[in-house]
Amino acid sequence: MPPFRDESVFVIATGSQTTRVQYGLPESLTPAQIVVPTRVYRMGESGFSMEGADSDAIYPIKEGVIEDLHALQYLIESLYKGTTKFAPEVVPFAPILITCNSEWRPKQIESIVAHMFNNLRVPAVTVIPESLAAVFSYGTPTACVVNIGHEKTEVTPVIDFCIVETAQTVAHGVGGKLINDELVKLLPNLKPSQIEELKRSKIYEIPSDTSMSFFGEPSAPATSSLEDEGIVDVAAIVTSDNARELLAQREQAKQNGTQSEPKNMELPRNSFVDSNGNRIEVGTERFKGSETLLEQLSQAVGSTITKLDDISKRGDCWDNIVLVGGSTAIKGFVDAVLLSLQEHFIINRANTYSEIPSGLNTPGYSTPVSGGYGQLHTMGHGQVPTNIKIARMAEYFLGWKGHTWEDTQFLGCQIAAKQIFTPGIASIDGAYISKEEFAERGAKHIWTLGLF
Amino acid sequence: MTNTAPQPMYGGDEISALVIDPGSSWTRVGFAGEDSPKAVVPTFYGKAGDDIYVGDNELHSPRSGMEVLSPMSDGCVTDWDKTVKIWDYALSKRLYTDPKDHPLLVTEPSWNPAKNREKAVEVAFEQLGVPAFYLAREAVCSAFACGKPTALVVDIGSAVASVTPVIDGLVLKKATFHSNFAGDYVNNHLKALFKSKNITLTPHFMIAKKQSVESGQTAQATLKSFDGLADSYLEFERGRILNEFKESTSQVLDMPYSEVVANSRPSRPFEFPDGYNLNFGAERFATTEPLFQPQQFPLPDFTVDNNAQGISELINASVSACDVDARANLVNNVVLIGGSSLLTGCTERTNLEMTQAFPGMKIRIQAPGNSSERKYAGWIGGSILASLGTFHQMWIGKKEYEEVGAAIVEKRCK
Repeated sequence: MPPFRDESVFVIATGSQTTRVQYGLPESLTPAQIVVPTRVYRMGESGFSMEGADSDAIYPIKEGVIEDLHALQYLIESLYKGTTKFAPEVVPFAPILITCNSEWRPKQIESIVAHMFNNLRVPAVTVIPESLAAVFSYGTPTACVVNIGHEKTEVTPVIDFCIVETAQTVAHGVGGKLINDELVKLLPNLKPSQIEELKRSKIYEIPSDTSMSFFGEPSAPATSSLEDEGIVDVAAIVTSDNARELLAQREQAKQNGTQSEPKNMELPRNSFVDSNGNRIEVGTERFKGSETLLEQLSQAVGSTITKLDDISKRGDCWDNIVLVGGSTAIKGFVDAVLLSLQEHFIINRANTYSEIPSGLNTPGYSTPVSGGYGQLHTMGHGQVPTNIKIARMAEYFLGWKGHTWEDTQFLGCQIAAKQIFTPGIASIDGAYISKEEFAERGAKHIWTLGLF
Repeated sequence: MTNTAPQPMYGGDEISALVIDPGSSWTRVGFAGEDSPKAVVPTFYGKAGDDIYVGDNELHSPRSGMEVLSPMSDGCVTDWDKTVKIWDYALSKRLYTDPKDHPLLVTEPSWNPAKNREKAVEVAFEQLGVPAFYLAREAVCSAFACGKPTALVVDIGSAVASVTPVIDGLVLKKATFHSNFAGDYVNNHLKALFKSKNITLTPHFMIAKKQSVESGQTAQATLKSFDGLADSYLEFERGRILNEFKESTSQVLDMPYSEVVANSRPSRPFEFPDGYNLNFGAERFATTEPLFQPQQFPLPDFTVDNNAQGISELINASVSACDVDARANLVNNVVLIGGSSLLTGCTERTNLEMTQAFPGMKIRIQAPGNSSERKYAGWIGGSILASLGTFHQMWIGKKEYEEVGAAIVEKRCK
């Protein structure tokens, strides 16, 4: 049984743009306590600092690749010491879980682990691949994780909690930035920073085609807000003092809602306020710019799942598409991805008479087959995918109300940390290196933990 | 994908060897001691003018004027320059490793010409700069992967189908037979079939979106337009459709082909990337039968030699060329591997054919159920071999190569 306590677990997830940190796992998991840019500043010849001039800024990770290992180690150290209020005279008690990208070299990972033990004197460390972390928050052992960064996308099939390296696709140049590039062409009068802000604003939206209903596949909402899904937090209302008033207010708001401000999609033009206070108005360009990204994503997912050797698992991957990354926060993005995948890949068997149910592979009812069921395993596999679904996140984390899909990967990190470091029903044994094991076997021991 | 943790490399004194198993369609690269290759990269390269492209992402990029070509022929490496580029990509970009730091084991077919073997050892020491090298027979490795030092290895790959008797870890060259009637040959038959039905193969990357249509109806897809794409590139992309067809729809008849029987088997629907879909009945079997009866199933514009041997004929020839005493043991230890052996019904048909060809003998075919093990048997065996303690003395060291020259490979790698 792992021996650490919830309140002492330290979780850190570094991306090319942002780093998320959580110190202490709360009773009900929430988005990260600390979200900072993945950036340090050069100080002097070879030193670093967390503050400095723009000209001294260093971004240690680019497109998932560690370009400055020492800078990254400094960042990790500063965040660890800062949040745990690290006191050298106190026996170290805060174990670290850190995520890694598929393009981190093994030697770099070992170096980071060694640095944690040597400089931070942590009691235990574990490293989990980002794609695996994402799967933890969906509670599904098999999935296709699509991690859409700013400049790179990784499509990783995970089968039974194991990453299938041979089928993984790493697509540099495919990411949220493609949207920026398109918008720059459509709105040449705006500055790059304004384009970025437009993309992040409430008025940027990707329209979803009404023909989606043809496929009959309801998509998951773009925001995981419980209110939006119509789920009423009954407990909160009933236990509050003015329950009757609250209910009356809800009714009023509902009625008002239908008559008040028109939806963004219905307006020919709309505006947002940028960080300098300027009000910027844009037209229908705010619904465009995502076509290239969506197309590239679809092709990447299609070719990745096709590369899986285990044909019987491909259908499971198509049924559990996990989307992570900042772009997923854009209104309509997730629906648009699902639609694009369906338009490219869905196999429609409804019209063919010799229907073979996927997974079962039995012949048509009227045709006799010698050998019967004994030959089932030799019948082969039906064509997939007949279904494509975006995986649904666990909805019972109340603290996540109002937050979007982009935080879900970090949720997975916390769940993993809880299972790896703290005792409980779901705890996993032997999934971290303790400081004793590090002393005995070195950082290379990380490869024997079975997480990769 | 590893289900068990990889062999520990800690301690500092254990350096894992690298294992490369080059196939005609895919090259498998990884570390010895692991149970599957870390990287499986296409054995193709793209060529546009003077630029060479390797790796999945680059090869599948629709680039104007880029040809997609193969550096292999008949299962052997012919273009070493391009092959080194492919290996380099796999080693540095996927394994993050420098070949200078690791002994290297490369697999080869049983019929690899002597000159090619010498070239392999030369490339390893002089271009890759490895400290130690070994050239292992694919068939021996595959047999080892199935736990057998003696076996009849039937390998049905993409370009080549081969039968190699392995006896106590050694290949019996005079009894080894191979042909070009393998996965690619099935592809050619499928292409002829689709052409005869006026079905155009439009690869996935050209489809913007497809719509659902009734069986047999014209496709209603929106296509993207591209300029100047080379034929070889388009053929490469169409290959994916053919593979999809083979995986989901193709089947090998459980007896020598008869149209009546084939028609009585259930038909299966197949949907093409542009949405066009059709039911396929006897054709599913007629297009795989050429593996077993190449002469009876020729292609419209390709004459098949009278001596052409299907799988069963290769097996018969091989077993007959072996010592009488060895035969019973061989047919009782058949190892069936290779991607194309995964065709539905292939194992059963091979079993039937062998039972009829060798009456009175006990036929036992071991065909790994796991598709990764079926496709990677050669690599897995190499991984086992290169991580055995007893193998250490078998490596050809750099010094030995420098003293003796490339001819050392004939002496040391049987």
